[in-house]
Amino acid sequence: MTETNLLQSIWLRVLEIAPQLTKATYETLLMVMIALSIAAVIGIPLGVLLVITRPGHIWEQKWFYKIANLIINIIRAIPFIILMFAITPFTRLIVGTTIQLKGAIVPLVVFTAPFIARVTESALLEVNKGIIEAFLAMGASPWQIITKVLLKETRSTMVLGMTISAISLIGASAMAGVVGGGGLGDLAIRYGYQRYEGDVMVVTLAVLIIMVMGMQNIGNSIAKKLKK
Amino acid sequence: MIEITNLYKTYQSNEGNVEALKGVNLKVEKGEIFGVIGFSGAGKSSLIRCVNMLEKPTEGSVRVNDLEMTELTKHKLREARKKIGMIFQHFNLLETCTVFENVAVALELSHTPKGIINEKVNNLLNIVGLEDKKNNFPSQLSGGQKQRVAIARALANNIDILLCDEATSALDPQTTEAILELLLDINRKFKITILLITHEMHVIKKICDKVAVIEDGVIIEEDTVLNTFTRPKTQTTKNFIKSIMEDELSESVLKELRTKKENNKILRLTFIGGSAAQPVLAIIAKELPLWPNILCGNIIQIKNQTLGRLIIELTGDCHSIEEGIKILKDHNVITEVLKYD
Repeated sequence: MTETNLLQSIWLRVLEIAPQLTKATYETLLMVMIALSIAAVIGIPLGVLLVITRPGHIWEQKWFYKIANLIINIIRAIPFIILMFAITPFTRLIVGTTIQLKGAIVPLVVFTAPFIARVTESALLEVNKGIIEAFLAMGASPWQIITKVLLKETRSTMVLGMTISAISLIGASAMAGVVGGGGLGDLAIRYGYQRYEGDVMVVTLAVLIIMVMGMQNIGNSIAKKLKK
Repeated sequence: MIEITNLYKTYQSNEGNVEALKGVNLKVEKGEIFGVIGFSGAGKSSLIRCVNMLEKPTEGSVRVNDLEMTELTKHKLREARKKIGMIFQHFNLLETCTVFENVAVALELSHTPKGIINEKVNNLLNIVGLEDKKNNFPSQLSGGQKQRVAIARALANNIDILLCDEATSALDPQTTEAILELLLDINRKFKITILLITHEMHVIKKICDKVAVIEDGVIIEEDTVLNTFTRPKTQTTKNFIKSIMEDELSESVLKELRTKKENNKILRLTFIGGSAAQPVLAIIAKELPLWPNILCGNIIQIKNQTLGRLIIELTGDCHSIEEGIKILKDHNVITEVLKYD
């Protein structure tokens, strides 16, 4: 087959699967956004707690810190594909099912929240201790230090961290396709892997690459705007 | 205003305990500028941080405005801290906020209404001379300007006391002067009591009323700045004074003095304020058969007083030298006979 023929045949195939491709892209984005939002709501406060409860910080809680640290390490050590199956009882308990979009969201959140907690933790640890001290000296409460110092000073880094989290979610969401969550991963597996349709695989990958690049660019430009 | 009694601070570490403060007593009166000077590791940083409880004292009492700081609840402590400003060696500004926001945040902490914040911040920036920089970020400012922002931020909540933790140590000499002038200005205009710690005698000399010398966790000397300069008691204090006022004779001068045959005495004369204006050396030379010879001289400004110091060689017969010293003392010149052998 010549090069032109190959491109032509891929193009024809793209047109043919366009409806599925659009649907899968939409599903992936939906999965990523929902999972990211919920994971952020859990992960960011958890990350803040990981920082302020450590020894010598503004709300020292030795045991909370140790236990939270351990649990996060354990979850982070489990590969997503195993985590997804390991927590099926939990998933069923929360959303009543282990399949489709709903069934995929729960393991994605469990996977991503500790990740976001770590991202938040490392960003917040970068804040100069002297600044925190200056605010303590001004009579700031722990809550004021969290909102007016820690999160405010690191908002640019936090946006980059959330971008990384979103991108790692795209990868995980592809695996979630296995449980019928749909999305681009599901498409690639069904057509590309199980039916040996290499061209569909290539097209799906292309969409994923564009998606990742797009997200990274958006994240970078927002972070740049926030950074002064 | 600030009363520290029998203050101990011990840090626990894996290598054992470190006693930073070992029974410090200190009293700072209202409206005063009080300086604590010491070498690094002397405990001065622990001391100032115990005043607003950034460090919890191990033992002892810290009273600020008649409030026992060591016994306050968390909430009460935060309220008390709002009236105690603090500035630091490294300024500690929010890097991602403008000058305006950095000052405004102090007012937000005390829930000041938005409308008032704007006016107050502009006023504060005016006081520290940064009204034209209000939309700049700290990274665009010089060290001195950053410290001015920190001062404006500290002043925001109508403080009674300002704690300065090595506030000029990261600044060049010229900027240091300007910041010290500003602190002096604030002290006079707003009657704010200032407690500062430093390792530079220059800072003490320039703005302080009283000074305490801290060494090894203990205050070894405490007096007015003038008394400390004229009559230092400890070697550490003498060393600090020497750092800004050379009053040792150089080796070559000493060598020459040793070879002299005439009867002479080496005197160190200290003139304070009014006595600096009288021509005492001319008087003794005229009234007695004496030949004063100036070997070394210094005039420094201590806050608003002049302090002059001379080392002279007085040549003449023993009796006349005794008489001369008496005349000097009668003119309120502090006279010490130095021995150089």
